[in-house]
Amino acid sequence: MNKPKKAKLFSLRCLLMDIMRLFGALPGLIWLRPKICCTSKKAKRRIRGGALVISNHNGFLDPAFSMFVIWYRRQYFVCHKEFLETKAGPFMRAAGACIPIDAKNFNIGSFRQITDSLKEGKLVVLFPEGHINDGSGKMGEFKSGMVLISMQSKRPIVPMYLKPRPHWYSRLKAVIGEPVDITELYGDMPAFSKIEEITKLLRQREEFLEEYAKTI
Amino acid sequence: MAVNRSDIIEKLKEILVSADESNRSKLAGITEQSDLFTDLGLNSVNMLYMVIATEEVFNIRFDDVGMNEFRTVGDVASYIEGKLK
Repeated sequence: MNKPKKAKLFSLRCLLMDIMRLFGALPGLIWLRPKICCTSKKAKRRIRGGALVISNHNGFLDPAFSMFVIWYRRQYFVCHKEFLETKAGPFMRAAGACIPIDAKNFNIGSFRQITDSLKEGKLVVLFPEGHINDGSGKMGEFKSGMVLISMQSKRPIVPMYLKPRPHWYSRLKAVIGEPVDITELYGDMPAFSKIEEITKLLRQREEFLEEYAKTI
Repeated sequence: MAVNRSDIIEKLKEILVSADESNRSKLAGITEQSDLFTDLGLNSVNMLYMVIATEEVFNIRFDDVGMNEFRTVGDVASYIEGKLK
């Protein structure tokens, strides 16, 4: 079902993204000194093939931090289409790292773009709160779109928690949890109430990672 | 595929009832004028779910349309009707 697909070592489409990763790696490692923890042996396994990574959203730099946590994969970020109108937008668009969505009028085209990327074996990162949290580091409510995405693409959801950094020079600390295979657990088309239930379960998984992060 | 409008509404009703058993009584009274958001209490995720299920049932493919473009059950039925022609 989720047959791992080997990513191309070189791809013209990903050239800018790869250049960013290559030249950003060393300064980023010096600045962030990432500490990555996994909750179990299963969580420690490298993510192969298509997977939807969900994470809490503390700030604008979270996508960059995510690249340091799952450093061995190219990542594609689901973002609001308004983000592409900011100064960083054209750059991110050129890098091909963004999958823009219209949060006010979600369209089926964006949904297909995300599910197709997952089916192609890409790693898609989504912030299920839908926005940056209030700054206190407290996670907001999760939106349930991620469940439908995972269901339709038949790819697992990997929870990740990025610990808020009190200072710009603080170390990046992150926790990765075990993948959740929704189709395996709940079938192809669970009812509305089940979708809400799964969303709550994923929120609980994130809360667990949050607690875990306090110990590192 | 020759499907008339009332069949489409009936199929939509079936899709929604199977997805939301707890709301069976509310969904049983669906008419063309029923507002998807206010009368049926659907949100954008539920709408997306309905679109996915509809595509499977009618074997059609929705274009790149926003979920807000469908306000009533009749809007969805018209869209499906257009696709089946």
